[in-house]
Amino acid sequence: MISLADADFLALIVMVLATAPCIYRVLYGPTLPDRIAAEDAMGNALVVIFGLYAYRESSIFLMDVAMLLAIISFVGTVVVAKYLDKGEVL
Amino acid sequence: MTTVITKTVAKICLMVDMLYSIDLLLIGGNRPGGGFIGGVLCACGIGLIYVAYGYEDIKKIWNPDWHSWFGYGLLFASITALSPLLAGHNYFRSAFDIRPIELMGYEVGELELVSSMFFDLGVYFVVVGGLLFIVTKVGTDKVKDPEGGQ
Amino acid sequence: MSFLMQHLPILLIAIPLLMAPATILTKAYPGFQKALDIVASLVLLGLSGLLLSTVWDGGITVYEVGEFGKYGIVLVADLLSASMVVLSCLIGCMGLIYSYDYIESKSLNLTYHSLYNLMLAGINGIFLTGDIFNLFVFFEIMLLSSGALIVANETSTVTKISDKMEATMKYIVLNMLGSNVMLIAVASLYASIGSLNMADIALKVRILSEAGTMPWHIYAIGLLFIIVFGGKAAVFPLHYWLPDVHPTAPSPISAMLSGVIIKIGAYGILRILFVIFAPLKGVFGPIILVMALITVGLGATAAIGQTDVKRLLAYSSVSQIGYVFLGFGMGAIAYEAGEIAGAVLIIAASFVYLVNHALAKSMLFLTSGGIIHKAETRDMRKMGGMVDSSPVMAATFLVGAMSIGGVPPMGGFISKFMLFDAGLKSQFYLPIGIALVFAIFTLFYMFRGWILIFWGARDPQYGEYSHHGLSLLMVGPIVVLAVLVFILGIYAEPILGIANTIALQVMDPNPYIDAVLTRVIR
Repeated sequence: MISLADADFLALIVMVLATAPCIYRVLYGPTLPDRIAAEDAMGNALVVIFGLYAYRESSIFLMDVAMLLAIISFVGTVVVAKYLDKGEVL
Repeated sequence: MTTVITKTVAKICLMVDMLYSIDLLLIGGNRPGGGFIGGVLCACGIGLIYVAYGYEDIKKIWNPDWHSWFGYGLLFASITALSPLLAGHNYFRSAFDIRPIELMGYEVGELELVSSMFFDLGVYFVVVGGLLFIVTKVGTDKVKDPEGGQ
Repeated sequence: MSFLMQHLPILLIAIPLLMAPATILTKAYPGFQKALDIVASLVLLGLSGLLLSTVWDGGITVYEVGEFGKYGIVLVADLLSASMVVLSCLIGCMGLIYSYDYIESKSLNLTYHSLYNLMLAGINGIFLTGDIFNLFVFFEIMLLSSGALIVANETSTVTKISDKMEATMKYIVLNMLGSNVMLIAVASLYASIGSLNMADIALKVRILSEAGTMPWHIYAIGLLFIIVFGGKAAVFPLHYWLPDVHPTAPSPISAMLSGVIIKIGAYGILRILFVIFAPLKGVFGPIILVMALITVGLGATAAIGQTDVKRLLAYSSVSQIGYVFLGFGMGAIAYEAGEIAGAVLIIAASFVYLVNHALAKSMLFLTSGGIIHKAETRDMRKMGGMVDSSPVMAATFLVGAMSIGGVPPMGGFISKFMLFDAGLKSQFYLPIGIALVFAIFTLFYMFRGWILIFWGARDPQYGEYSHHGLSLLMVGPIVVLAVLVFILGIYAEPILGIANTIALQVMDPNPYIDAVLTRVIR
């Protein structure tokens, strides 16, 4: 029987496994948009990993890291998306 | 110029970004955070606005000289770090005090006053100025001569 | 006065840090900016001399930054640190005076001053800090500001911007890799020892080693530190970035890079391996020795065929830093074999070598800037006969060549003689034999360069020499450094005394540990 303490560990493992296909897509993605989408997905997975780990360790500090990572990853994705769309950033 | 969705989201994001950036600046001292990461977040927010609305359009409304933000920030941080020498203490010494907050005769909380906050403020300006200086310089760079040269 | 003495170590870092924004904010008044920076630089030179005399008289000075308590961040000025700081402040001041006429005025006005000051702050911080993570932070400050200085525009247009971009990219990327290795090493050291204070780490490593419970990964961490500092100092497997970077930088920055920044690697080896990992000296001595011998040979052999004057000097730097590391390797092995007196002699000799090479090589790089101005090329085959029009440069280049080559009245002779003599006394016959062979190579390539540039006549197809050679501001620093090189050759007693005391302090880290750990806490 899986208890609640094991459940978050299981979720952590699943999230770590979820980054693997993203890494594959970043490395071998045939086009640039593929890589960008994969990188964004990997960023989201990392945010979830930090959140779960903060819950597991009962530490509030890692939530800061997760929030920062979410914001910076969002800005990065917007910048690259504009670059792909218009061919310039600013 | 980009789509309406990007512009709207960027506007909302800027609020959250700035608020969180100031929060990180204030909690510095004895928790993770501080001037550096707060400055990075602030630069992220302003950079997002630059990207969403176009640098040229923002420039007409608000165009600070980020280069001198860097200079003033570093000067402020240096002077703050040097100021304990005047009080007979060592470089970087920080003063610390906890004051209760009173509201209508009741104590509702306490306020932590740390003088290293001013140093963090200097670092904040250094990071904002430096990052946005690089962003605006590199972003508006036009390739003139592929061979380089003078 | 007591205020000054009390805060002396931190002022050497805080004044350049304060000058960096001050020179940005006064960019509208170029004359005031230049005067401010030169005054600050001279004050810094004076303060460093004061620090050296304080440490020489009063022993190791410890300064608590921020008063965080016993294991807080400290600055420790022992004799090694203080003399390295004097060296960096001296060459920094001379390079700054020189660059007023050498660097393009727009570049000088906008960024050069502040970056130069940040670089000085980083270098002084590296030499003075007593905390291993702060060492990493100051490394980064120094690395980024010197990387940006490499692309500063010169008044001459011999070096193309694209070449400079390539060189600075190479410098920053490869050294950033080294910094990442250092971060890993510092983190693993903290994970296994539990402290970041250098004296505390040294004490704990010694206790572990005496109890016989040294964990195996301490050896791996030591190797990582050798990689880091070997990369900074451009020792054999990690030397590949130097011959591209040093020639493309503007001449005052080349002088700083070759004179001071590659010496940081040597300082790091002395500080980390001889003070912190003192019980492991016997393991790492042979590694350093072999690396150093290959470096000596490789640099000297590559320098012989060079036709570019600054590239010749850069390969010569690779070869000469090899001699310094040869001394460290021999010293570590001799100490492990029980010959304490011999080891002290060898380490003292390599310190003298380091100082002499720093002065002579920075002077040569400054002179090469004047040569490039005059000839408007860096190719030595297109020069010749320059002795008629610029006898001062011919004389100073000769002084530098004699010092690097080890010809008697100059400082280089004393250092080479001391190193070989001390090595032979401790019976390192084979390494000294190899080093002697390449010392002859050194003599050959330095004088080949001198003859190619100054003797003979210039081929008429390359035109006349331009008239703007050295201005007075450029001659001054070169002559000061040349006189110092000469003085170190004929009156070497003070530096020999300092070097001997430094070697004793390096070999016996107990005073360092005691000074840091048993101080009165404010």
